[in-house]
Amino acid sequence: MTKPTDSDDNHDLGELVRGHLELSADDVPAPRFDQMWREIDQSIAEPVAAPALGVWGTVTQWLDRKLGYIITGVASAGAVAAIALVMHGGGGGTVDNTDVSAPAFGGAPAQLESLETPGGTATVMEMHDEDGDATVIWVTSDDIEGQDNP
Amino acid sequence: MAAARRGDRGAFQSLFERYHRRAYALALGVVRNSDDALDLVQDAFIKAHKHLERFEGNASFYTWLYRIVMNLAIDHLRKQRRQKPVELDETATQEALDDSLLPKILGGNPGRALMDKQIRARIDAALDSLSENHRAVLVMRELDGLSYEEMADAMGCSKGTIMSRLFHARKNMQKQLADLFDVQGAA
Repeated sequence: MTKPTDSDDNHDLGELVRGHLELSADDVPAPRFDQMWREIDQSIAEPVAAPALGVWGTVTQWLDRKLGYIITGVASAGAVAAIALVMHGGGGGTVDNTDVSAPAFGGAPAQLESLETPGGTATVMEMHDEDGDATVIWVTSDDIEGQDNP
Repeated sequence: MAAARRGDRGAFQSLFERYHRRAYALALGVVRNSDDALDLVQDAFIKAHKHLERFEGNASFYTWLYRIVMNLAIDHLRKQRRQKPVELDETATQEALDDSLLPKILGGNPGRALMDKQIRARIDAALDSLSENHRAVLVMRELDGLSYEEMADAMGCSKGTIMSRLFHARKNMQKQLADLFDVQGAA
């Protein structure tokens, strides 16, 4: 009779361990595994994640979510732009000539340093009233006696 | 398998029916608690279904499921270890747990010996007495015949470490079940 070797012992040990574990698995009653399957089935039946949207789908989904903020932002920006236009008197390029006012001569009256009137006499008058200030130059000819000449 | 990948739940159920007990035996061998092993197998099948699209068709479904079960079992052991540190001495040996049992005759037929409930209780006790790392390697090797490389990959350690763990796991088991082997040798 040959003496059992380590290899034989390992083989028998392997048989014992494997057989014991397989029998232990067989010892579990079938209803317990049936219950396990029901729980697995319930778990895998739950809806899975939504399919990939792609670039366009992602953009539109983002727009759907942010549309309210976008509208508010655009409206605010428009209001600010309108206020800025009013404050600066309109955008450049066109000029409205339908309502041209006469140049105003307000401010300091004309300053005359010298006035030569050959053959006549000049009179300078400064007038101040509620219509504003004006300077009037009155010239009288020396040739015609007794005739007024504006 | 192809039908299951297309979303056929009936096909996936067939895979479950075919492999659930085998997966449970693996989980039980590592975690040593029936309820934990059942939870683990359930999680493994759910995970397998969730990632079916990642499954490569040229491998067997069980090989893939095996990896998932083993990863979950090792994670489970790590969590347990954080809660209750255990001795992981690679050279540790265990004393025989029950000397009162009469020697049993394996007689070159381990299958027949397993019919004896006392022998099975002895095997359970011997497995329980192993460190988690030793037990995981022993179960992977004896239950599913994994290579050293496959076990090293599964446990994230070197091939040498796996060889050492397997050697000591076998020696510890044989020591605790020595009376069975002695009788066998004398038969």
